[in-house]
Amino acid sequence: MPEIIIDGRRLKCEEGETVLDVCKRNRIEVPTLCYHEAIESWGGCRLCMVEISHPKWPGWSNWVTACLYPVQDGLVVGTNTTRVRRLRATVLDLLLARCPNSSVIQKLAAEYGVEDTNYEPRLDGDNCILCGLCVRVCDEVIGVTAIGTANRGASKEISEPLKEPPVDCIGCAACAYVCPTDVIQVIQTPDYRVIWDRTFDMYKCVECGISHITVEQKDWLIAKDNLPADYYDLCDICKRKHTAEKQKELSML
Amino acid sequence: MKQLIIKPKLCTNCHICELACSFKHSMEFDLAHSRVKTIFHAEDDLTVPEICLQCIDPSCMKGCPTGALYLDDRINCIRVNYDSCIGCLSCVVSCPFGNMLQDRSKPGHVYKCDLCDGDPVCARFCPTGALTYVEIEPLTGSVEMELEKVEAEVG
Repeated sequence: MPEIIIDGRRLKCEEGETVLDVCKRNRIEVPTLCYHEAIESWGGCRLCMVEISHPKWPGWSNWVTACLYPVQDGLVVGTNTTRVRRLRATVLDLLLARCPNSSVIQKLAAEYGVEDTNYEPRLDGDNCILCGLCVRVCDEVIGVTAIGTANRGASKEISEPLKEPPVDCIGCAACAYVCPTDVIQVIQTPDYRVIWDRTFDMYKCVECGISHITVEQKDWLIAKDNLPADYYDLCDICKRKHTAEKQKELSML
Repeated sequence: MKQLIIKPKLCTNCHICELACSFKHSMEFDLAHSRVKTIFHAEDDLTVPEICLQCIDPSCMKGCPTGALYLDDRINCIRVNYDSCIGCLSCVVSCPFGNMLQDRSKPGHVYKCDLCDGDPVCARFCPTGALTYVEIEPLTGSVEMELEKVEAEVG
């Protein structure tokens, strides 16, 4: 079992883990924006950069993204050294220029001493940092690939195919939930949900009319778990009432 | 193995379990934040405290597309790993008993009974013993026999 040293602490880890996994388990704080446990790491935001060294490389050190770097026995990691902090400050300086109005970025940048960006801020843009979490959750977890990236370079953006309401979207709003800077707009009413310019009808409880999921999401869940078509007919409150009814009958026996 | 036992006949609908649960998890006395919900049946004058049953074959875990729900086998409890949750509410709609809850003020935020890490406050504060967290023997006889045993205990 490999052992690594993070910030002076000798920590046991499993084969194949990344440095970030070990940090998270041991409550060592490493800032991340494009990382999510349920989604494959991508190393896009460059915020989780750490400094590594090894007894076998005397005098050498390197910077790597903690979310992608696999552990190896004897690795020495610094998560909060001066050089790491300077590196993160540069990344945050650039992110702040991209989305100067994002409170998440402002807060993180302030933690690293960046109050104002040294670059020209993009004042008319949205708060998207192009971390791609929304695209990846849609592709990897939900498996419908309703959204993607469009264009290249400075004009790259997250977009629906052909900028039209995405036909494959099931309206689950997982993209909005995982978005680190809360860019994706969801309009939620009891009857419908609007996301990516597409309006979804909600699947309502047959007894009280409360809804949690969209009709498309219900179909997706039924296909995924191979369930009867009426499995999702009741909302949690009505199901709870039915359970209580059952338990009442049981206790009256 | 300890389990949370519900005895509706002993419940007086005092809501103390809900208040204790809410305070433990959100530092607020708000019944909406409670993991346990008491449901009053006026016609029989009986209240049933509803709480996660910690199923052996949990539907919430099966419905979750990311594996964010996991079994804490130390206390036999299904828990939520919020770092893996993507807020799709599949677990809320999958639970056949309605015991997976959703925070209505925060879209996508789900919560469930976590047995307070092995010391459920609902059972600790229940004044009548309607909710108890006790050591139980695994079921051996028929369901009827077990029910009779419970009947004899409750009276």
